[in-house]
Amino acid sequence: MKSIDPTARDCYLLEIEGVELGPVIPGQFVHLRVLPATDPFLRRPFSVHSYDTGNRLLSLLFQERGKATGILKELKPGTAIDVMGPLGNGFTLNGVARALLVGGGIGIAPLYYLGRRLREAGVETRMLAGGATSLDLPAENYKPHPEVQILWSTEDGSRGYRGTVVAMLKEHLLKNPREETADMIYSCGPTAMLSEVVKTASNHRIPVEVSLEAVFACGVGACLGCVHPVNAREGTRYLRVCKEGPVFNGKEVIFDA
Amino acid sequence: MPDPVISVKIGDLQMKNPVMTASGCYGYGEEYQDIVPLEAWGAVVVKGTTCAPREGNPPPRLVETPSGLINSVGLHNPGIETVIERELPRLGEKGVPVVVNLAGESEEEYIYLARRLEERAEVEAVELNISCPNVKKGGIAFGSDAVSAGKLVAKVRENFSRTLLVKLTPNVGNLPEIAGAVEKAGADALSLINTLRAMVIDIHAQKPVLPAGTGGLSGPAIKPVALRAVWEVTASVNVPVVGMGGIFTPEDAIEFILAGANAVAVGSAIFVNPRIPAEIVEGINSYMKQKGYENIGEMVGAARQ
Ligand SMILES: Cc1cc2nc3c(=O)[nH]c(=O)nc-3n(C[C@H](O)[C@H](O)[C@H](O)COP(=O)(O)OP(=O)(O)OC[C@H]3O[C@@H](n4cnc5c(N)ncnc54)[C@H](O)[C@@H]3O)c2cc1C
Ligand SMILES: Cc1cc2nc3c(=O)[nH]c(=O)nc-3n(C[C@H](O)[C@H](O)[C@H](O)COP(=O)(O)O)c2cc1C
Ligand code: FES
Repeated sequence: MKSIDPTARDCYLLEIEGVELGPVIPGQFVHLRVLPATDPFLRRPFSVHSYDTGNRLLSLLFQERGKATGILKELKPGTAIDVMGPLGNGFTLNGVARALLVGGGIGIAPLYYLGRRLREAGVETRMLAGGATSLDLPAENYKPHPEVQILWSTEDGSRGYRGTVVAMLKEHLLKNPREETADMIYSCGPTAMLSEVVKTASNHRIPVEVSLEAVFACGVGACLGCVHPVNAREGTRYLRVCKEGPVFNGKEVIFDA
Repeated sequence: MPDPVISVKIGDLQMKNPVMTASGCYGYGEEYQDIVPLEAWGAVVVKGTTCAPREGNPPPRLVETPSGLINSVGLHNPGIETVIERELPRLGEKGVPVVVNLAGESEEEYIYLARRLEERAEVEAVELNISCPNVKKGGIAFGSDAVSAGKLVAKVRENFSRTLLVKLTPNVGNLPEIAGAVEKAGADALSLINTLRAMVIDIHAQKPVLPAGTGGLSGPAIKPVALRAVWEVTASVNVPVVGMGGIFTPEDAIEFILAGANAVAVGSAIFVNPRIPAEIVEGINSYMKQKGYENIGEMVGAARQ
């Protein structure tokens, strides 16, 4: 582990060096063993926030939630962390000309890496990022790429749009003609928010991909512990968030199960 | 000094080392391929397989507890036909013995499953799961009563000629009696233990975290209970025992062997440390050298003398 720095209320940027991941697709995650102990017992999944193949530098953006993240934020530079990955299916990058990234809370974590990679591939990329207050968001100049515009929203209006990120998305899509908004929406955040993002995207006939969360054990598809209901050709299927996901076609995900 | 002999034989199941996967924790062996080779294991026990495909229980299915994990997967599996067509041929090529864990809702289903696998040469053994706490019908009902357990095992025995393991639940008051009945009915070996019924309540929502209410507890938290089960059963039963439940270190595995287990299986610890089989093999090797054992068999049950 190289460094850990606070980025927002209860949020931290963790940099780990010397991690050999090979090629990483945005939206993929790493499975961390926080301590070589039995409590917390399981590994914890975190999306790749950025990865520099050349320097083998991995960064994660995480929010303190409970046991493992509480330990993680206290780790001292130099501590070894066991990293498994990259795992899971990432976002689709091909065939997109204009992308809209919609992140709620810590859900912005994978979108930074996605934004950078899309922009580097020449995709016109804009990010909508929302939090409760400006204290819950990273610095305004913290961007995935200099050419990616970020539109911020806060529920108390302390930065940017006043309201939820979904409300901002709805307005954004209504105000701007489709040719100028997006031919693909990517989203990550709380489940209730993702459900709204998918509905909104569908209303505007824009394809949408979402990154889901679940409690993971193995992280590789072996335990069947992390499933989420998804509409498949054969009917409702429980698919593994760690293996078939964490990124799914938003329109196939069942949110109100 | 030559390396100690750590190969073991359970029924006709010949294993190069005594470390097996616990059912449901290693999928069909494919999932961990890039991380640790299947060949590290003495044998691979695949997920609980049923007659028809099952989608399992609704999520959330997992909740972590201190040094443990409660699962309510509910035998989510593609069904015996898909396992035979898609998984077995691939697994059979690896040179590691394959054991299929079978779960039925009735005697007829168990018999059907055993017959289907009798035809498949890739399968060296079956493990009858009469101990899953996460499904409503069948399974654990057989494993909770000595008479029905014995009857079921006898029926399956008539239909399966290769190695027959029977996996027992610790959620009973008369484990040695059930183990005895299963042995008498013709089982070649016993697998001990399946998960312990357990639960967690969300105090904010004021309801159980798992939609099913309860699930099965595994991981280091259950090791002392599992060890006791192996200890009690091996006092009265003569068939070999595969010990499992909370094995997390080589020392844990050694404890099980000293308690009377002929082999061990690792489940939840794989999720945390996929390299565990090689580490256990290494640990057993050095322990045997240190204690002057030449063959692992000499160690089995040594804690009783
Ligand atoms: C694919 C994937 C990528 C992720 N990426 C990130 C990331 O980039 N940054 C980040 O901060 N987090 C991310 N998460 C979430 C992160 O894994 C959890 O916050 C972390 O595991 C919590 O561990 P903990 O021990 O601190 O909390 P715990 O002590 O395990 O949990 C604290 C509380 O939160 C609840 N809880 C824990 N996990 C979940 C869950 N998944 N869903 C609902 N409730 C839950 C628990 O029941 C408990 O009440 C990701 C999750 C997944 C599945
Ligand atoms: C996610 C999960 C799925 C399991 N599925 C099965 C199963 O299908 N059949 C079975 O006999 N046991 C199943 N088990 C039980 C394990 O095989 C093992 O008996 C138990 O977990 C104790 O070992 P451990 O503490 O090393 O995990 C499962 C356990 C877990 C954690
Ligand atoms: S976490 Fe084990 S299958 Fe997804």
